[in-house]
Parts: sequence; C-alpha cells; structure tokens
Amino acid sequence: MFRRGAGEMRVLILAPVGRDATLLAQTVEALSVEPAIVPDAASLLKELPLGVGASILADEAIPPHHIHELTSWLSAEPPWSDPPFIILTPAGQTQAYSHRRSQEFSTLGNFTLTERPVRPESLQSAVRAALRGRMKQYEVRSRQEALLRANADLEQFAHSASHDLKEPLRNIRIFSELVLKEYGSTLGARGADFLHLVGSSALRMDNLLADLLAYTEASSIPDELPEPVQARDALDAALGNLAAAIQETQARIIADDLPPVRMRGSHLQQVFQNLVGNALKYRRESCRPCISLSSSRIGQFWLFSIADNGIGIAPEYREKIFGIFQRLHTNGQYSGTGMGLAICQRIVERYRGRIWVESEPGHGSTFLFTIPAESNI
Amino acid sequence: MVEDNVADLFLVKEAVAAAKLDIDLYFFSDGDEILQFLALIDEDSVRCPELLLLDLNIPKKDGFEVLSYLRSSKRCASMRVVIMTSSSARADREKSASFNVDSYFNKPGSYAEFLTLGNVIRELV
Repeated sequence: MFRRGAGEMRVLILAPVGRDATLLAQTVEALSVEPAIVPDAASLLKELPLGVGASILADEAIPPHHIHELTSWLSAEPPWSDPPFIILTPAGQTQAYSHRRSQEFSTLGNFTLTERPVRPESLQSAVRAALRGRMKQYEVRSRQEALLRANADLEQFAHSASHDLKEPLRNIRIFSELVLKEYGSTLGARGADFLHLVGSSALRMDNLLADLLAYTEASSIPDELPEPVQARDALDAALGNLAAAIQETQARIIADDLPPVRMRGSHLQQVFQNLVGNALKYRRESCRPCISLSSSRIGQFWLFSIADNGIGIAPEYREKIFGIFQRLHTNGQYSGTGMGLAICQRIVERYRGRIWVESEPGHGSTFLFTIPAESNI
Repeated sequence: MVEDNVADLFLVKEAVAAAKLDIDLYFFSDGDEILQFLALIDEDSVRCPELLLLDLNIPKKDGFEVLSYLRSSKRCASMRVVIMTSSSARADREKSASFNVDSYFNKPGSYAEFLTLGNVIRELV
C-alpha cells in the first residue's frame, strides 16, 4: 500500500476530556492505524501539516474561530488534498443545533457529523472509510508528481533539441554548402548531388526539430487562463506570416468578426497559422483557394471554424492527422514535418478546448476548434 | 570570445576576416576559463576587453552563469556582450535581454548569413 511520510495515515484525535481521547484512541488502534492525541485546537493546527490520514474532533473543542483557522490551512493545501474530518457532536442536541454546526463546519469540505454516543464499530467504519478516501488522494498525488516529472523531462528534451541537436545540424548545412562553393567544380555532378542531399536532409531535420520544440512549448501553459486577446489580431499576425503563400496562391480569405478569447496571443496565432497554412498548401490545382473563418458562441466556449475548398481528407485519416509526425503525402507532393496539426491540438486541448475536422474529399475541409470565451474563468 | 564548437570558431574567424575588422580575438572554450580570466581582470588593473562574444551552450559554467558573474564584476560590469547561440527559444532570448546584452546573434544555417556577424561586431567596437 502506498505510504510515504510516516504521519500520512495517522489519525489525529482532539477530545478535551482525557478519558474520551484515550477511548477513541483505543477504538482507532483496533484498526491498526496510528492514533495521535492532541490536547487542543492550537496543537491540532501544528500537527496537521506534519501529515494526517483523518481527524476525529470533539465538536465542543472547535469554536468558530478555530474552524476559520482550519479552513485557511485547508485552502493552502495542494489541489489533490482533501483531508477528512469526523466530528463528534454532543448527545441529545436539537436539530437546529446540528444544522447550525453543520453550516459552521461546511468550509472544511470533507467532514462528517456523528452524534454521541458512538458505537466503536460505527466509529471504526467511519475512520476506515475516511482513510480509504485519503489513500486515494495520495495515489492522485503520486500520479500528479509522475506527470510533473514527465513534463519536466519533456521540457528538458525540448531544450536539448533547441541547443544540442540543432548545433551540429547547422554546421553540417554550412560546411556542405562551403564544400559545394569552393570545391563544387572538382566534385562532378554526382558528388555535388550527394552534398546537396546532405544539406537538404540536415535542413529537414532542422525543421523537424523546430516543430518538435514548438510542440513541447505548447504544453507550457499556465493553470490560470490569460487575459483575453482579440482573435482578429492573432489572425492578422498569422496572415502576415503567410503573406507570401497567400500572394502566390491568389487565395481569397474571408473572416467574420472574431471575438476576444482567453488565450496567449502567440498560441492562437500559431493555431490560425497552421490551419490557414494547411488550407493554402492542400489546395486543389483547378480552383483558386478560398478560406473562410467564422466563430460562434457555444456555452462557455467559442467555436471557430476554418473552411477551405481544398483537396479534403478521407474519413479514415481524420484522427491520424493530429498525431505527431503524421503525414499523408510524401515530401515531393507537399512539404512539411507532420507536426502542424499536432501542435494545434496540443494548444487547443491545453486550453480545455477540442479540435476536429469535417471534410468531403475533393470538396474541401472544415477545421473546427473550441476555446474558452472571454467571460469564462 | 567563448565558444566550444570548433566549427563555429572557424565561422566566427571567417566573419571577422570577411568584415576586415582590426581586432584581437582571445579564445576561451568553456565557462570556467572565461570566469578565471574575468577574475584576473578584477584583481589586476588590466583593462577590460571591449566586447565579449558568448555562446550560451558551453561546458562547465554556462553562458548565463558567465553573464551573471560579468554583470556583478568590479571592472567588466558594463562590457558589451554579443550572445551567439543556436537557440531561438524565447526563454533564452528574454533571459539574455535581462542581462542587458548588446546583441543576440541566432547562429544561422548558411555561410553567407553567418558572415553578417562581422557587421554586428563592427557596430559594437
């Protein structure tokens, strides 16, 4: 069973009358868990941060100002932690009393009111249930920690990709270029071709690394949603970067009014750029590309749609295209790394949105994605 | 100049030669070497060099540790600095800017572009 710190499964007992505390402790010990008796609420607050599986508290030992202190301790606990409290109320109280105390304790969240006298078996089952829940919380914690470690490793990898892997590639490109420039004439056509292939392979690897880096950087999004940005600004920036391709293909781009959204501007720009870039790239030779962007409000989200009149995507590939390094064409047909849509998906999902495609092969594709609306926090 | 990569060392020399710059280059191949040199300058009254060409990704103490030492050193705190790096990561660029570097040269993938480093250096010396 998972158990880290020694105190993590102990049961803290706060009962002002010594005899009560001892009896409770004996009851708990029968479950073979470790009880720890604390004399007063102040000591309870000192002991809680050292680790707690569950707490059994006598109602009369917790005046309202101590509930307040407990609540502020709880609010500083990490998100996975919701420590259970079993509160023993005095015997024979009115319903109004129970109701009032229940409200006063409500800020503790995970609490159970149990009226005295309590049978040992009832208390044991309550403690057992509380510890079981607490154990699950610890499991969530270790999964979260594993996830954080994995993310840190990924970021470390991205850093290596940007420095250590790119550096030698760059030099392969430069020095094959220099050999071609200075010794090209003595190499012959075959030799020059080989060196061109060395250079273009290095360039391709460089692009793959750049996109892999963009993909990992898309994961470093803060927990809090950023201030709203105008989607139109992000689109304009994206179209600016695509200006050459737009001019070359004579594409018509129609955009409705677009709303403000709570995303980092650079992320939204990247999504637009990849989607519009794809629409330009996968155009049909027979007709002028036409790309229309629109948005509509769906509950707490904005739904964006980017429709084109390009080659479309066969149904069996509509999920595969969002995978990393997934391509449906050779480099000779359409250049690319196969990372563009993976980056889009990564970004959109990080903002708790979704991205998908609807398409009729030969008649175009519509990419749709949702992102949080301005008023949503 | 602090650079551990012999290929880049060659390219920087080419850039300096192509720009016909009349400068003396001193080479250091890792962070510890340059830090020892900076410490010597601090102890003596030797004049500080005009310009530091610094690769971020160097063995031992990395480029940022060198910058951090440099900016708090006695004699070289205001030395002009050109960062030369393969990294286009925003984080590296921002962190460099926080040390008030004079130029951030993202090492390019072609010979001709690499030679533009000569112009960057000319404007700072």
